[in-house]
Amino acid sequence: MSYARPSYDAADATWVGASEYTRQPYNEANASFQETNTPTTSFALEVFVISFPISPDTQSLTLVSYEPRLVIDPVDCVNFGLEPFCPSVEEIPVAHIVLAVFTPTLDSVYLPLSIEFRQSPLVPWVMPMTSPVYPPSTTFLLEHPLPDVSIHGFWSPHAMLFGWGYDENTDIISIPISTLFELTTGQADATTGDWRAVVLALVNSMWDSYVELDSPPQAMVLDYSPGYMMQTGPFAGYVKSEYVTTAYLNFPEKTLADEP
Amino acid sequence: MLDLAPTAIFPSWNSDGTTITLSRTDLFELTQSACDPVTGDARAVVLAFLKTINERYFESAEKPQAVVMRYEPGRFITSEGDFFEKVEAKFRLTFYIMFPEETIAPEPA
Repeated sequence: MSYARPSYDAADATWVGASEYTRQPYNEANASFQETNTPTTSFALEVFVISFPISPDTQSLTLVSYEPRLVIDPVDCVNFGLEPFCPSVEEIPVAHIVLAVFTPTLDSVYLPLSIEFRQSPLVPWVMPMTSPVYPPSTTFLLEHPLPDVSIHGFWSPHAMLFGWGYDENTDIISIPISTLFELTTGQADATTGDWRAVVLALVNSMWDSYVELDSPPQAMVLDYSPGYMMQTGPFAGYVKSEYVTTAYLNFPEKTLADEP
Repeated sequence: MLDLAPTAIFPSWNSDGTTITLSRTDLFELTQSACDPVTGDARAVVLAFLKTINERYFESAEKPQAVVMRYEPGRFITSEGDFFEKVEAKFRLTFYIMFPEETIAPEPA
């Protein structure tokens, strides 16, 4: 790449390779302009110069920048970044400030990264269902979900607690004891039972069902931490486990949010 | 005195030895439509059970030690996402259980 600085063609009285930013007609009234003895502040406008050649191996682009240079006193204009001010020209027709624009021209550009990308092997985005990666049973479940399996967040009470029943006339809910995790008949007894065991059985059964869902709900997330064996305290020798249920609620109604 | 009877949590709780029954109205704000076995909403059932259990637990004068409940009213979600401007509430239930039977531990003397 090459670029040319603006130059003044005295024969045609024009600037070559430069564009005029402002104009001030040259006349007798401002003839002193040629002497350039007015305190001047100017900035060098050369900012980016790209060094060539660009090769696929190095990809180096050298950016050369010049700090703006402040010129306060009358100085030799040759040192200015804006060389079109050069006083060696006998007559500066009209230009006060000239901004030179250099447009680099490139014969060719190599993009090595794109070449490497094209040469990389294609990665399949979607594994076909008939792939031998999947065992036949999994393929069958994915293609034919069971009626009670949650699809897109739908989770029915029957799917959660097998045997769940509800009578609209009596407004009574019924659940077989055998479907509640490790709950005994004695613990379920209304008067002599143990509600702690009932709650543990309910929560554990709900969690068991939740983790089996192919597409669990997102507005209600059930989590279980198996815990650890207590070493001290009144429950030494017992396991401390924790169930955490996160619910996303509408505000201020406090009702369950819709599934996204 | 610590009352561990299931009716302490669910007043209408009953058991015939094979099936337990309770009234829908025992469960906090659970609607009839959500109770339908097939077309109902298990999420609402879970929420109703947890709210009811927590409420009765905190109301009880004497609480068991083998079960500890904690309710975190939650935070208002202000970041963009699926649950923007919803409240995230957490129910924490801690159990001390026997191993490997996985049944609830007896209350300490």
